[in-house]
This record gives sequence, C-alpha cells and structure tokens, in this order.
Amino acid sequence: MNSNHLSDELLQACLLNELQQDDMVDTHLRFCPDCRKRLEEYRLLFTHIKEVETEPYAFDSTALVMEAVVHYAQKKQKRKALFYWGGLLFLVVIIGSFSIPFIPAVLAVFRSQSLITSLLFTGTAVAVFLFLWTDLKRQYKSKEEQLFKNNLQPKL
Amino acid sequence: MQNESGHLTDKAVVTDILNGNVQAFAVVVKSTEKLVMQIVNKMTSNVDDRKDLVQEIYLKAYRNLASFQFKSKLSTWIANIAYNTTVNFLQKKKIPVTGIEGAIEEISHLNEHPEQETIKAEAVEILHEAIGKLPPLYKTLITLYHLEELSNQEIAVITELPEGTIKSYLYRARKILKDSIEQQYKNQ
Repeated sequence: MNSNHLSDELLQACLLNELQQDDMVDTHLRFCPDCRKRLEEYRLLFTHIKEVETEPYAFDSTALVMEAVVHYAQKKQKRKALFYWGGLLFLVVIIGSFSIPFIPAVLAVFRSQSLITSLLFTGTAVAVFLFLWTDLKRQYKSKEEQLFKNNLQPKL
Repeated sequence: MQNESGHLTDKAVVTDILNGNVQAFAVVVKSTEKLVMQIVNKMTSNVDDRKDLVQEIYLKAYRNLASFQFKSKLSTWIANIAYNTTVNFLQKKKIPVTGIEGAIEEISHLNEHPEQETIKAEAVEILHEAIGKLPPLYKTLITLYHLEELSNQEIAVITELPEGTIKSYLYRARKILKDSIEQQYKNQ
C-alpha cells in the first residue's frame, strides 16, 4: 500500500472520535478515493459488529453459582463452629487437668462445713458464674453489632 | 467512569453479603453474569469448562469480597477475576491467548458462502465467524469494547494490560475483521 495513504489506525481513530479535528486527514480523505473506501469499510465493520449476536447461555449461571456459594458458606460456617467448640473443649480440658491437684483441697473445705454452708457456697458460685457468662455474651453481641453495622461500611 | 450511584449500590450489596446474607450474592451474579459470560464464552468453547470457570470465578469473588476496596465498579472487579481465571485456565491447557498468525489464515477461508440471502446478513454472519476465529484475547477485547461498550480504561482494569497495548490489539483485530468482510465483497 502507498505510504502516503492514511494508516488503518488513523482511519479507525477517525471513526472512534479519538482524533482531534485534523485538516490534513480531512483533506486527504476528500481527495483520496482509496482511503475513503477503506474508511467506509471500517464504518461498515463498526455498524455490523454491534449486530453480532451474543452467544446464548447454555446453563443457568446464577443457579449454578449460588449452589456452589451456599455450599461453600455452609462449609465455612461448620468449620467456624467446629473451631469454636473444639477450642472451648480444649480450654476446658487444659483448665481441668491443671485443677486436678487442687480438687482434694477444695473437697476438704466442703467436707469441713455443714451441708447448708456447702450448698450456699455452691449456689453463690453458680450464680456468679451465670452472671459473668450472661454479661460476657451480652458484651460480645453488642460488639459484634457495632462491628458489622458501623465499622464494616467500606470507605470510599 | 465511576458511577457514584453504582458505587453506592455496590456498597450496599457488598455490606449485606459481608453481614452474612449469602443469598444477596445472587444479585451480584445476576448483574455481572452477562459480562462474565462474554469473557468466558469468548475464550473457551467447551460447555463443561465454561461451567467450571463460572463457578470458580464467582467463588473467588465471594471468598475475596471483604478485600474489595471500591476503587472500581464491582462488575469491573469481577470481570478482572473472570479474565485472570480464564487466562490461567488457557495457560494450563497450553492454549495461546494472543497468537494471531493462525487466526489470519483461518479467517481468510471464511468467505465461501456466496449463496447468502443478503449482503448485510452475510457480512454479519462472516463477521460472527471471523470473531470466533480470532485468538481468545482479541475476541475478548472486541467483545468488551464493541458489544459491552466498555472504555479502554475499564478494559485495562479488567485485563491488567496497558491501554496502549489494548488499543494496538483492537486495531489489529479490527483490521483482520475488516479484511475478512472486504474479501467477502470481492468474491461476490
């Protein structure tokens, strides 16, 4: 092709409005039937390309994906629960094994007291434990709410 | 480019999903499936591969949703995952992503249907076939630019290629397509 002709890049850029107003290009196109023809071919291409039909989907991608995502979320939830209860059990076992040497001493204290005093001790201990446990859960819940409802809002 | 209301919608949906509403992810899938399928369909032809890829792409998106920083549209971010996952898949299968030489050869043999009803219908059909014969990357770029009407900037985010490279690939792909239509008219 004659090197004086407009390049394909230039012709495409003309049609895509990527060029600033260029008198040289305009003049060349006015006097060069070859470049006008090529420009017209590109114009046709740009028109036809929009009419090329998109390939229809061969499957329901939403159903397919959601099945996998829900399965993954459930597995993750199970793993999280397993980790939580496993950790708790491990903690109980560790604390329990460290407590073994102190059990006879504690029992001796209870044996030396009357039944009513022992029950009073136990009842108070259970009440304190339940109070602390409930308070801990309440605090955890409020922190979780704070975390998800406020801090997780992504910043732009 | 970055639509403010689109960003707010993205933000609401992402927050909802991160708060534990898994079903809200269906909204993300519905709103991006066309774009994802355009990328996957243009780069692969086997239905089972496409199914696997679509699942893998969205699972990656779901797993990494917390790391999405709203620097681009959610659809662009997912399209980027789609593009990278599909390119990795092609590389594993040793399928060239950009090799153009074979494509030119194949496209030059497309114009063997002089009995088509109208020139225009034939041109569109020839074009459809010619796009199909382009290398995966060229096909994807043409689709994203001309059918999805994304800008070079958005395509650059999706493909992680410099804008100049994208422009150059698009020029080459259009020239091949133009030549294939021209050849068709010559033969009539």
